[in-house]
Amino acid sequence: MIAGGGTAGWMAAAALARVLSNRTTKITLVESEEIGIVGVGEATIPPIKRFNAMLGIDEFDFLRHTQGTYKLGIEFVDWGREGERYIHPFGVYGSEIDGVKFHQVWLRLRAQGLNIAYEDLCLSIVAARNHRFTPPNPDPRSPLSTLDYAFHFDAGLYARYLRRYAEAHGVERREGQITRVTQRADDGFITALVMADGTEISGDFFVDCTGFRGLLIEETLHSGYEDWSHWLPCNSAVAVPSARTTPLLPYTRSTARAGGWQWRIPLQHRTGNGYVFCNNAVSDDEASATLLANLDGEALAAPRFLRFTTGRRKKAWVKNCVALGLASGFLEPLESTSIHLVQSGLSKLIALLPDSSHAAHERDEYNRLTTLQWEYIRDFIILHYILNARRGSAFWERCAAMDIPATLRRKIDLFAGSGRMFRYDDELFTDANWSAVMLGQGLVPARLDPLAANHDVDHMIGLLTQMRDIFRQSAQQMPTHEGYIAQHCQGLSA
Amino acid sequence: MPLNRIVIVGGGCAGWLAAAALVRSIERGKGSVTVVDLGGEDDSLGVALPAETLLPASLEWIATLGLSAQLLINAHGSFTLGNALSDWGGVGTVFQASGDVGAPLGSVAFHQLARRACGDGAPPNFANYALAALCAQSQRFAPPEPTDRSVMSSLAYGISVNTAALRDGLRQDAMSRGVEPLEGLTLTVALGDDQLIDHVTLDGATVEGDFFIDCTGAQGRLISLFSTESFTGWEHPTPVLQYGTSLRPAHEMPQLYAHTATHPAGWQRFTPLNGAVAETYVTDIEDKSTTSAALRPLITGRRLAPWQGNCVALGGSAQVIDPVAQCQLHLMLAAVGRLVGLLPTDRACLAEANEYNRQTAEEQIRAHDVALAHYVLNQRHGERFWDAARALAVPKQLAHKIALYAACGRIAQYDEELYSEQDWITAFDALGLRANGYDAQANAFSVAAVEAHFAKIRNVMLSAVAALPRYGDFLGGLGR
Repeated sequence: MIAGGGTAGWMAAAALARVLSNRTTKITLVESEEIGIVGVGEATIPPIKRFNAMLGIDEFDFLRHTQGTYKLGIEFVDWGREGERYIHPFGVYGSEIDGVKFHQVWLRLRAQGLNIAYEDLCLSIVAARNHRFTPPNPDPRSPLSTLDYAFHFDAGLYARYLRRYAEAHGVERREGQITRVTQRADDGFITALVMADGTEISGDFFVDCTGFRGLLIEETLHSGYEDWSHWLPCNSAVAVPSARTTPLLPYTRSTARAGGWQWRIPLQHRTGNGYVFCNNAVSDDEASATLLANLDGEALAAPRFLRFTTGRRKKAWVKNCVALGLASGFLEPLESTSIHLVQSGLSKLIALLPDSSHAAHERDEYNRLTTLQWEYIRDFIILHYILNARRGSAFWERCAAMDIPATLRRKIDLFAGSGRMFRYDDELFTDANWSAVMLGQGLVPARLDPLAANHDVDHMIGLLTQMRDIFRQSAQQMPTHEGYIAQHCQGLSA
Repeated sequence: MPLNRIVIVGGGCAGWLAAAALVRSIERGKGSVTVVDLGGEDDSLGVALPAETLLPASLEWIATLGLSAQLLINAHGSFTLGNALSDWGGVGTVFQASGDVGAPLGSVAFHQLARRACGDGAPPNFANYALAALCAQSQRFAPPEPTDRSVMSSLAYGISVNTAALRDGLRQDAMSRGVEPLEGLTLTVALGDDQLIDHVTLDGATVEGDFFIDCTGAQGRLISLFSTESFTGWEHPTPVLQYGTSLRPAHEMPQLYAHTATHPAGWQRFTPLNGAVAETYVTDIEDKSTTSAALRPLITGRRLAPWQGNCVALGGSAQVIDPVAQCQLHLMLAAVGRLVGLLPTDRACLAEANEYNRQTAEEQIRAHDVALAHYVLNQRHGERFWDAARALAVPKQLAHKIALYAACGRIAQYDEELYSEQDWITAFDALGLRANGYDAQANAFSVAAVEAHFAKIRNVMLSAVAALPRYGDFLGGLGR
């Protein structure tokens, strides 16, 4: 029983339908056309490809139906010092050399006079800056094997696409608003959803995709919310679509602003824009004005406002109900993790699918893993704020000075000391991601890894120069992003 | 201030392992590594045992640290593909294979398929579908080539070595790279005003250093000076034991596995080496039946933060884990590897020390969990020792791991685990722990399809094993 549509609801429906295809389990999704869906232009991260593959979806077909484009990374503008920009890429930088991490090698050589930018040693970034795209080549000898990618797409169209899939696989859709939720007297397990017209739809297991209100997980089961606004104070967003421009960029852009940051998501039919802000730092009117003044194409609609409290549901799975999407919490889309959290919540749920006895252990494990994942992503987002070097704005100066979680403090201290990184168990972001943001925002280690000193400097500089040239050449040989899209997955008109 | 002079106190296996690894990591021509050898019995790894087993993961560390596998062969090394456990999880002997068991169908794991196929009946014998077990059973083995793309490439193996011979080999290797050995009897440690170790004196002579490594075993001659770092017992202890060891020459071809058998008040393990068999015998501290004077108390415990200032404790001076887990040498290798990855560039690198201690603490607890699991899950009933072992208090994380597996066959993995997910599944199976539920996705396959899949796996493995040389021939062919 899935309460709520939108991206989260239909992702759940599609995935569960796929996985339970041979069983006698019935999947029903209840949604109301009347309730607005939050959907804005969405950016994603590489694991989305696995989700689509699991469903058996063809990539080009999916992009055609969602007006989607390719994403090689995120460009952060003005996050370090004003006027600076860096790209946090998918794919890898260079390669590890004799057990020493590449960023250590680069730092060492730079101190010895190397004159090549870190970004020139990452093919994904070089391609992105040249507005090109080609899929990775699995042959490890090809420089194209260092690439990786994700997508931008219209979330509303994605939900519609998955709805067609889910309904074709036996999911029943019921239209209407849920007015009441019934529970068992002895243990409080949810038994049925009662609709506005009085019909009762009963179920054994419930997935709450009802958005911020969390009709089941919070209003009925009182899971509780852990508020993270002391670390991530943004609490509002204003969004507006604008006309598509040329060239079609293969990356998301995030530009720091006075009271938050502005996103730019390129789609085939238009560009998605939004300003995530803290309404104590900047008023709604100021935010809207800033956004409209910073579009690179004509606005196509009136700006829409959204309010949120950053944080997460204390327990994502309570009794016989699991929350996904906004019902499970909210983290600003700075690193495009919202859809990923739905996807990974689903894969954990599928792995721990309860039988009818609803054992507590699966629930505890689900909640343990979910908590860890949310905290790691939270830390990665806070990283951008704590390392900002913007001056003259109370909002940003407060961010640079705030008390951060101990888990994050440890990582920053270690890197700041000697450029070292360690990854906690099962963490989503790798060394490459962390070092991209740390170096990109100007956190240069005070000392260098002594192991990096064992390499012959001239030889290494020669290797890196060669690498830069090969990447430059490879990028030039790739098709343009626009050309690739036109050739393979031109969007269908609605 | 650059960190040039590393002084390792303790000339046992741990000290020389640290020396061999660190001499490869210091800046060429700019640093020095010295080993201060105080002699005496070698308990530098924790419990003084005549043989140590390197797990498959340990061999990865050997390679990462730049050490040669030939060192292990020269130390009377013999390959191991798992453990035979007798009368532990039930009557009879079960083979606990290294590495993978069976293969998944789609995304459904082998052990889940097995539950699906057998229903409430007896589960299949994992050893029939584990490449390591089939090799051990047929006494055929050769490590796969790096270019091998067949099922053999998934074969996981370890190596058991003679501890003293390994120490000698590491010493020779380290000295050939310029590590300077100093021998003596009396050691004093001088702390500076900054509460860091300034120097040590050996038989009156000063030994200068920037960074000090304590490889003196549980006594922790250096680390214990940092008053916060006493050797403490485990919060959830394993049974209190006494132990004895022996090493006897053997001329027959060694088995490809260790054999661990329980007895009414403890257990004993036979570890085959090339040319010898090592025995470890442990029994309840209260057990007076064994009159042998050679038994002595087994003390287990840990130091909570083994890196203090410019001193780090490795091996037994950091932790002693019940030998049922067979992990002393592995923990030492992992610790050295971690240290190399966090090699200090200053005498007091607080961020590095904190990170090192955090990871080490997790690793200690996880290894202790493995040991505790063996005792807590035993199925010997009616004997005081084993009944008490089943009643031992268990930390929350291990309790959750056991309960989750028993509920649905899933493994909850934490940071710095000694065992992989597969290792835990294999261990639980060998210890007789059964899962009540199983992965619902397994129902997508009919029982007939699962059985056909199992038969196919077995046939592929058997053909691959039949093509391997006999172990005796292979071992004889290796230089020593």
